[in-house]
Amino acid sequence: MKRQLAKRLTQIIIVLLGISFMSFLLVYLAPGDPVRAMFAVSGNIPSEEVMAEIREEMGLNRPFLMQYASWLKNCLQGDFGISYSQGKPVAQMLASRVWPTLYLAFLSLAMMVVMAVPTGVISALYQNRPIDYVMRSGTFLGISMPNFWVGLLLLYLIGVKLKLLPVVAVGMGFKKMILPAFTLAFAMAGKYARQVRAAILEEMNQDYVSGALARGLSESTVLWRHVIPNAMLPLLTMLGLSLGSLLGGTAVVEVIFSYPALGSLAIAAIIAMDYPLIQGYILWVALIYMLVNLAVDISYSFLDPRLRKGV
Amino acid sequence: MSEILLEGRQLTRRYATDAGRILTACNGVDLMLGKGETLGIVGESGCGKSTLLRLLTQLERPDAGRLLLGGEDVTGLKGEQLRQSRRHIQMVFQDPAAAFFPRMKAGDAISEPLRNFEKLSRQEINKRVAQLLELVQLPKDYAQRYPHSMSGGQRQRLGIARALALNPSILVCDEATSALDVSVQEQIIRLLVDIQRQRRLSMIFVCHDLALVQSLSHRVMVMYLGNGVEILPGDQVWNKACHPYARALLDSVFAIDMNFSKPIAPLEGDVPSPLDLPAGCPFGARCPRFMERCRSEKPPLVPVAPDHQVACHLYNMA
Amino acid sequence: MPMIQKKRQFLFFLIFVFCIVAIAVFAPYIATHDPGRAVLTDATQGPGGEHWFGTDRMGRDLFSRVIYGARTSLSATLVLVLCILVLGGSLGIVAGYLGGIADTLIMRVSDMMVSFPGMALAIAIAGIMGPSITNAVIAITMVSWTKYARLARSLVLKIKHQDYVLAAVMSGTRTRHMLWRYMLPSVLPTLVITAATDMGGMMLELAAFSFLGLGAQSTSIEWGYMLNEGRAYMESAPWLMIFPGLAIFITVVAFNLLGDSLRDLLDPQGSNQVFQKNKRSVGMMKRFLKVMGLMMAVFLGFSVLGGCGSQAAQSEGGTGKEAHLNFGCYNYSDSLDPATNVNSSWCGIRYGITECLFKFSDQVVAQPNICDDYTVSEDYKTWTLHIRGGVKFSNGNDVTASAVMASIERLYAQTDASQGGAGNSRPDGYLTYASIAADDQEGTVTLVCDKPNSNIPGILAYPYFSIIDTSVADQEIIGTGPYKVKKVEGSISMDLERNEHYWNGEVPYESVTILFINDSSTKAMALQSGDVDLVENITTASDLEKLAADEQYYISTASGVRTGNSYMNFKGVLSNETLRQGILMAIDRDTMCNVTVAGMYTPGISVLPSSLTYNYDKLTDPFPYNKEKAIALLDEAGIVDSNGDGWRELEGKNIELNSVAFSSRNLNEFAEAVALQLSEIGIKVNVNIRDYDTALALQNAGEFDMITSNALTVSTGDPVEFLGNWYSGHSASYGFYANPEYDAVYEELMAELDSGRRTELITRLQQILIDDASNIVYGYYNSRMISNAQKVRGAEIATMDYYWLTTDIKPAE
Repeated sequence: MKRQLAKRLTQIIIVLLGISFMSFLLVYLAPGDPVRAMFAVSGNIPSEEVMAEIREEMGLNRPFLMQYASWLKNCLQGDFGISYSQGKPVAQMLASRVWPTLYLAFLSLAMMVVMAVPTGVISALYQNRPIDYVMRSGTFLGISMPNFWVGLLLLYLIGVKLKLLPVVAVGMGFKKMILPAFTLAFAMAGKYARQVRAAILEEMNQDYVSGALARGLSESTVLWRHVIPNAMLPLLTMLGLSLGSLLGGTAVVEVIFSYPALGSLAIAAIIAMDYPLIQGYILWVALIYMLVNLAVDISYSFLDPRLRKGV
Repeated sequence: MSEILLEGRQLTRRYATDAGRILTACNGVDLMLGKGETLGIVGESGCGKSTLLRLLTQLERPDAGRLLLGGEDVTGLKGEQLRQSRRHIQMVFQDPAAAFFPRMKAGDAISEPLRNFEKLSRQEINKRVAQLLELVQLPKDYAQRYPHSMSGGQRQRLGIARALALNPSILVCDEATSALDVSVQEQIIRLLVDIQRQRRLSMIFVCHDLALVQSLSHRVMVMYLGNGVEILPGDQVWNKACHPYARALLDSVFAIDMNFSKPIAPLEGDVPSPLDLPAGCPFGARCPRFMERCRSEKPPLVPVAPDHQVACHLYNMA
Repeated sequence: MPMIQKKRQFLFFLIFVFCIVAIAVFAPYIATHDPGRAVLTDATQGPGGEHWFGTDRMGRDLFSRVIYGARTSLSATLVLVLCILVLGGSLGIVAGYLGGIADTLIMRVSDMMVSFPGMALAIAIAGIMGPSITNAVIAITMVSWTKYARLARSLVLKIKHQDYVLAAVMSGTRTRHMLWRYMLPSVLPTLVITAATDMGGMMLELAAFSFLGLGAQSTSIEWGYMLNEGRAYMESAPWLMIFPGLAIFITVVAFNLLGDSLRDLLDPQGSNQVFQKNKRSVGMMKRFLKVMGLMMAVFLGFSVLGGCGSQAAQSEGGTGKEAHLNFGCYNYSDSLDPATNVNSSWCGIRYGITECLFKFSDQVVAQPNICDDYTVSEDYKTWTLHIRGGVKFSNGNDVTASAVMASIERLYAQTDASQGGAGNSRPDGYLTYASIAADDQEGTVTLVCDKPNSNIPGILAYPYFSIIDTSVADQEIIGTGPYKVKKVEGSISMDLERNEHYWNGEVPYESVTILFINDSSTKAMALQSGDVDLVENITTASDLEKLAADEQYYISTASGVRTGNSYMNFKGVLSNETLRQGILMAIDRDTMCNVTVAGMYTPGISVLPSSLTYNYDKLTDPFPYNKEKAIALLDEAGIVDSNGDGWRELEGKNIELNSVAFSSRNLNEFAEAVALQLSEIGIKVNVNIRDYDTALALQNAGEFDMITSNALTVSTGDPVEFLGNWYSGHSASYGFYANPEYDAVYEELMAELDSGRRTELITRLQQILIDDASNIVYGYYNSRMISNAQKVRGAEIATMDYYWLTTDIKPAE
């Protein structure tokens, strides 16, 4: 078990190296001059000589690998560079937004599970009956509607017209986060509910279920003690993946609801062409994502005895 | 014996399993095949027949040992050279259903070897395909059909036609009749024998049916756990086979004219696995004539009569 | 569901999808108007009559745009899915069949991609590469191919050891034929089906990219982009958002239905009714629902508990009570240190934390502030500034001459890398001094400049030079403004409290909370919902309209100090004077400013804003908007369309103007509107919307015919620098304008130190530029301050961008 853990950790490090290299390469190859980009934000462009000086100061004239190596070295020491647009250390800016991101992600995830699991289970149990169709239409809508549209509509209806919930999700007060979390959860719940339904149906069709019923076990026992737990296992991994896409996909919702987490920081960084921030963002999100996945996998192996032997 | 077309020396093939152990499918097998000769290979499942065939047909490379084709060492061939050497040795597969790509018409399947090596016009190809179909006694219009629309026997004929397309000097049959009904089997065997006689084809015939192998082969090799344990002329198998395993095999065949009063003596002991082979004789654990020597020393193939070799310490005077 | 029903279903949805595709293909026959034809004055009309879906803000027919949009959206999605399929499929096949290093490499890369939240990476990639549909497709492909690669690989692995594959190899089939003739046909059906089911999702992702501004740009007609445009008009013109959104929705639904039915069709497993419906099921269901219900109740319970008491304190008015203000504004910077960068220096002053020695009046003339009097030597090099007595920092420390000097010295030290400073501000671009000295007895600071300079007050009024307490500057920024910082919560909010030591009158609020809201619509909504009572600069038209119509809100507008214009390249076809004049006469400035950009600009004719003290009212415009006259002028001059292709020619060649713009402060809208108007008089314009960086590069390289700009004309109160853009010595980056008369007057201006004479010269310069039809001036960017009149009064916006939270802003009676 420990060996597997070590292997996973090395894998994470390798992946991070690969991603960092790729992102650095991308930025290096990107059109535009980083020094000019730095000043483009303020609209105050200094003369060419000054810019050449700055370029030299920043070491931008060194060969690519050297630049990458020194950037990497700094990263390992915790220095991710200074943001062009804000002038603050990138690490600090990212760190301040990690918790809000995770909070929103977990909240959305919780909402999603609460919405999706019952829907999926009911749908599966009452397969092809009216209620199944109703639920399936619901989930279908969920996966077909652009989530930014949903967010805007909700914001407008509930925030402005009905004034039920605060419009600005400033601060992490729970009430403020309901709408953004719900917007995120809604689209994902649709997808997840369908997966739940499919997993339960597949499990119900397993031979052992027929066998158990034939042996006289009650339906509810079979359902609650065998089918659902077994079906849940693969769903857990999907949950991990959902978490991952949540971490990455919050950008749109953050923009609409003005919720300051990593996604909107990335967008702002992109608009401002703040390359150090973009690079730092890529790395951090990758790291968080992989750590979360690792946690999910570890808990997964505890739950499935078949996996415990060799993770 | 006439010229030796195919020779295998100490062919060995190992696989690494997930758990880290080594599975030895072929363990130093020696083999020789002459022109116009049929070599039969018998053995239980897991004895390494299929692996040996894959080594012989160069679908896989041996981990140790050498393979000689027409006197030339072809063990390490790669790329285009390897591809070229494939012309001489072709295979007929066991399962006719799996041996053909479902989306390819019969005619295309047969002509594929041709198209791979020669630049022929469409008419030429059609002519050759027709010839091949005739050879295996299939109607000419079958070229336009799909293999899955034919019966098992017909498909197997098709397989033979494909194998012969390039006029190879060696034909390998991997349980070519095992998947067929008994009545059909006979037809196929007859066909193979005819073709062999016509073209002076060398054949390797792998089978688990001892009786069939005997009647068909000039020589027979008995394999056990990746080793060739006995090689002898086909018509002498029933009477002269002396390796304990070979004898056990023969004794297990029920025949109408056998001695019904003799007790049935099954083999004792667990079937060892090809994983982590023990040193010494592979058959040691189950051999009724086990000796101390058998535990530590693996018996090599030694001749006990002209054209007859055995790998057993009972006959190894050295 | 029996097979025949499944087939029928599939067929039905296939036809549905085909209909949508047909709409895209036959768009020219279905659309009622030309989707690109703009009638500016018809902007944002509701559905009905001639325009079935209404018009957008440029007056273009929405129905036609939605129909044509199908082409872009569908083809882009198709290309995307194909790219993913081809890339993923081929990599997967190669990895599966060849195994070995290729397999390991490809799988490792794929693992790497999977280990990363795809959309985040795709957004970053698209951002780095620059927004465009192509880049969006590339970015999404790069993160989505892995699924197909894995699928293809697993399929290949399954068949790789089949007999027929071995047979083919034995037959001497070359590897590439193996891949092409055997692996690919076996893998393709599954991949195509997966792709079909993914079409819907991919379309949504592309739309999301366009919505965020990372995909299609304004030059293409695309649904996601239309949604983004329409978002600003959510309340005043909701149809702009409804119809494109519906289009996306219906198309995605169609594809999803198709995909689902396809999967149903091919899915061997139907459904076994394993569990019988009987009383037991119902009972179990009830139990299940009970459990779920309990979970939800607990969930909600926590939420209610958690939600209480975490709302921001309401703004309250009235005297005697604790007056608190909630102010919503865009977060330009988290830092307030003037040395950090431009934005932070501005934020310090804007939030009322810091102040400068001088302050700009509404005519943008520097007035004494912390410095109450000054003298200057005859050579305009030595300035003696008297520091007002009794001024204290918000922490109680006195503002002495030494403190002022220390603040200025710190600014220069912190921004000088050779001294180890890390700040990005560039004060040396405004002022370099030979020496600075402080006399605390006299209360004066003496500044000796490197060169003669008549505008030291203006320069010192620039936010870089705000005076802070250097003794604590490393821990916090303490200034002299009416408010001081109490607490900063990252990029979320800032709590301010009253500066008890403020020198300049009463500070109305005990505390202020600044909420950072980076989205204009959200700002407007926050104002309406009461989360904030004061916001700066709403830039979304419909929100502005709505607030303006509501008596509860007070909007203060100042036509600011930024000019929006397009430089013309005098080294190209625009060197022809008649052409330029014709162009100017064809442009309806007023409609553009008032309608197209919904009042974001005040229209104007001069490069200097009308709000400045440079005699705007005395200027004359020889080329007012008159489309017929423009056409007549061009016709007379022989600039006509002789070959009948609809475009005028100059000297035998078609006129094709390259108009470069970047998306900021409505500049791209101006460029588009100009292009549309010019096309109506037969002049072809190609609009190139780039990112700021690229646009600037093009500008410096002279690669444009027209290029937009929105510049702060008087950052230090004196427009001489800005006017230098047309001085032949400097105009290389601004269109190569060269006029000897202009040069002469400008040189005189550079040497002139008397302010009265300067004003005359500046007036003359403006008129020369107008008479020469030297550039297209749109207008002056309006700054605004919007307040809830029932809670706040006195919320006026200054002409100069630097001042937001002033002491004039008080609670309402």
